[in-house]
Amino acid sequence: MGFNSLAQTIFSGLSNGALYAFVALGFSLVNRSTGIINFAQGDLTMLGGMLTAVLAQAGVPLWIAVPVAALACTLVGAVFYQFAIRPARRATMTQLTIMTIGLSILIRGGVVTEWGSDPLSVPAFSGDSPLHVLGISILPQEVWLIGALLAMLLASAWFFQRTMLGLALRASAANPIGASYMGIDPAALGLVAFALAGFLGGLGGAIWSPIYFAQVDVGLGLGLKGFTAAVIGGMSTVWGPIAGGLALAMLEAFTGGFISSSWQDAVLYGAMLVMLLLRPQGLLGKAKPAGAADQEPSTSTRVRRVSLSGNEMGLLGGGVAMVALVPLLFGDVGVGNGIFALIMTIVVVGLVLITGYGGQLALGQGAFMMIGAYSSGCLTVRFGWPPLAAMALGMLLSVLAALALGRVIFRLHGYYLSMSSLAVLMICLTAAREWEFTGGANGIPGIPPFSVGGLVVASDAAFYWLALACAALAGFGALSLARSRVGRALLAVRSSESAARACGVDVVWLKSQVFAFSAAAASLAGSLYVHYLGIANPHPFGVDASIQQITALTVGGYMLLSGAYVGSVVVVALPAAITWLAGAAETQSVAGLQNVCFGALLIALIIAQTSGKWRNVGLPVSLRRSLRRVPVWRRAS
Amino acid sequence: MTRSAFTAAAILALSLFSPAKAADPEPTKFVFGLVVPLTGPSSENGKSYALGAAAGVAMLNEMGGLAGEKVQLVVCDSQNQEQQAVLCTKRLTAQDHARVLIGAGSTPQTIAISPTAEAARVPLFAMCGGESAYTPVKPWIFKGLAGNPDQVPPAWVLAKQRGWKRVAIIHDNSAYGRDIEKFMLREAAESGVELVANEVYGASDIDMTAQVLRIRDANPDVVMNYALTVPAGAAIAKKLLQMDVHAPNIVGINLQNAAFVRLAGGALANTIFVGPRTLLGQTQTQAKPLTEAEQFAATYEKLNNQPVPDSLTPGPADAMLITRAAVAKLGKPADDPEALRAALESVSGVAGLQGTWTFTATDHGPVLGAGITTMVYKDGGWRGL
Repeated sequence: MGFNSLAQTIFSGLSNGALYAFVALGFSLVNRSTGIINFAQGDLTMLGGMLTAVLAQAGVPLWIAVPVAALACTLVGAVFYQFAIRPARRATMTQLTIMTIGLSILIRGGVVTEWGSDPLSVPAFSGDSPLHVLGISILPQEVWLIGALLAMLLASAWFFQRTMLGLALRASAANPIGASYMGIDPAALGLVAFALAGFLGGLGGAIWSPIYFAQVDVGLGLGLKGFTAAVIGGMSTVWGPIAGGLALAMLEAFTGGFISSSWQDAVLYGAMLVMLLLRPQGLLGKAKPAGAADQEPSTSTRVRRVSLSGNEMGLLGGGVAMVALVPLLFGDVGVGNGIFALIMTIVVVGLVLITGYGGQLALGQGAFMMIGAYSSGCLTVRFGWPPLAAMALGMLLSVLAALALGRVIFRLHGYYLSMSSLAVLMICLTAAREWEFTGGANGIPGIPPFSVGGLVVASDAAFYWLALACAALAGFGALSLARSRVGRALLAVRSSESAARACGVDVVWLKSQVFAFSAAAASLAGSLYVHYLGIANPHPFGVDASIQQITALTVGGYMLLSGAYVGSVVVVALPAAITWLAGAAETQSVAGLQNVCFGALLIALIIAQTSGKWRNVGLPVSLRRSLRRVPVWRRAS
Repeated sequence: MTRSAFTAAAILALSLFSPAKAADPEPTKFVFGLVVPLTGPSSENGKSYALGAAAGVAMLNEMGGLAGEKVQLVVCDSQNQEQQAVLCTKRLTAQDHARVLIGAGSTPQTIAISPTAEAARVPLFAMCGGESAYTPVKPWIFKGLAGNPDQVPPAWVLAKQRGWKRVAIIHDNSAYGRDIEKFMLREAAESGVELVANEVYGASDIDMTAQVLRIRDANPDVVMNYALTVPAGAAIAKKLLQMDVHAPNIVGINLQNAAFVRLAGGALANTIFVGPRTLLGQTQTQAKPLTEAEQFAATYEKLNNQPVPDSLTPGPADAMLITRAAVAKLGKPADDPEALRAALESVSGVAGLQGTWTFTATDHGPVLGAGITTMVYKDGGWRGL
């Protein structure tokens, strides 16, 4: 690579880094002020671009369209905080973070419903003709983007050092309790943080969209990159996310330029993983003083009794009996939906333990599903292994991987499991796509139906029974674990990690065990999935699948194993139900409406579960009542 | 304690698992089921398939239907997900009683729905680029779209004609991109032309500067930009121009559409498209008029107030013309799946919109050859080179 190309690569890194920095700044602002990871930040950026494109196409001059788009995103952020986050007073940090996933889905659905999913071109602010400076080709719009970031930097420096609001935000981030004693209202600061994050996202998206296009599908990717940048740079200072954005983009540009574009994602997320392990506070972040433990700030789930009664056993047993009727009562479509719901149930059962009981938001269960899927695919197709043996080996590999990973990541606190598991998922996705042994992006076709001995599970109905048996097995296994010493210790850790530690609980080993169980369940689900479809490829195990699993967990109830099935049914069958209600017309707006419903459902359920006002909203009232009767769900007064 | 909970859960399950309110087709209708992504990253392609299928059904009905039966289309959005594609296939076969399926918009998704189509004994026309969907032969799966073996050679034929000796290829890391790479490497080896760059990018990447810089450094005579999605292909075309790479930019069938034309901006003038010859109003032999193609074009224009816009639109229509030929062979309404399948397997010389179709028991994926050619977009329409 010559000097010109090198300089061009560096400039390209700067330009992309400016975009990532915009997104990362939004993440950092919200996280510092509220402790929440705002997974909607990428979609707010996308929304800024879409609004600019739509307004520009309607003939609105850009100098009006861009501020309007940024202000609209500011409003979205503020409204979301005021009417969703703020009412959810008793929500844990995990629940609040899941609410932002709901907002992300809601924004995407709204955009598709209103404007479709077609990419839109956005006119550049000052022409398309590139400028040539020292042999570097620069688009004027890239100059606008970098200039806007510099302006934001100056504005941030002024805001955080010269204004009362900025000083209050810093004070609250440094010592929330101390700040509140000084009369600083944390709720007001949360509102400001979400509004500012919306503004940053909207402005960044509006300025960046002429460089690429305005398109609904870029939101998730931008969010992941921004999140990674914030982690790499550190969220505790203003400069951290900017440094992280630039570092990430440079790493991306140089990996693509000098190593391999194919393994770019693996390198980026690998860097995030390394950063988490070696310097969890990020490049420019400040380490917490020794002994300062991360506590979930608003956790209010103090558990009065730690043993489960037989009620949940009854719920599980009854649930199994009820869903067993599906093949008898409904046709092929019902059975197909049921199979996918049961496979998802197996994953969600693991999530109930790790996220519900353990309080750790796991976003990378797809990685363990892939281990199961590819073990089954590779071993049965390439080496002729019996499906049961391949499935068992996949589960074993997943358990070992989870134990190894758990020993490392559970030494960290807060949202580190979310980030680490996400990084592991992205690395696994890249490896599966690029490795010839796993069939590359095409995957491994021709996976035989599941069989045990001479008994081949060929028909849909038979596969349904198999999936049901596996789901029941996972459910009862999880229940046994929850009712054992491990489950009780987990609840103790969830209430107060320091107290549990003081009582002699080995927190890392405890969480690792539960993580291993959830990994085994996910691996089992992955194996079943590919035996049913006949092909193993990376596509179904991405971040979208993780979001669906988290949605199912929320719908079913975080600590209710029997709720895993109800949640999965809703997630799998809701699209069909919405299509049915909308008149069976398969249009884009219906697909958008499905996302709107999913997003709204996630947000509404968490508010209902945690606000103390909407007690009768959310899952069917009767189900909620039954939850109250399970002793573990009760809270201290 | 659990009675009320179970009542609620049962009502939920009943309402969600109950058969969808399908518009039960009348028994005398021949239903084509279309499974394509109408949302998600490949929705542009899905919409082309859906519009083409709607025009194809109208065309068949104008031709008198299939053995006296009216033709009906039921579309299901796969959302670009394997799971949803499988559920769509089940719905179309079990509830809508589709007698022929067309789908699913990508090779992995087509492979994923194949077992469901086979189990339901419904012929499936594969709408995807990869050969692995129908090779080796699966009794119920047939090629329906000009695939990668059809769309790669025209670019190399053109390169040979124009004397372009240094070729750069760029594609993504999706199943489609990797399959394209395989055919490109095969063509390069056979033609003896120097492949000066083979660049790959992530399917969801938004910046391809590094790849374009390497292409610039390789100084190619032509760039073959076979992106899966329109935004990626258009972004590469624009980036090539920005980086002063003025070599012709040949794009694949996926990008020969109105969206690319809309997004490519100044790069359009430098772009050569690959697509069906019939879009140019030409027959394969340039001799006799292609009645079906003309009729399809007229029907499409009547329904959509515009000419056939892209290469994917004719795919479902070809599946319908092949089915028409098979039903004509049967000489009676095609209510026996096995008879229909056997008839499809024996159609020969069906003049479709993408080429001439001949299936045999050992070949369900004929190469379309002369049906696919290169063209440019000029003066508001597709023009031959």
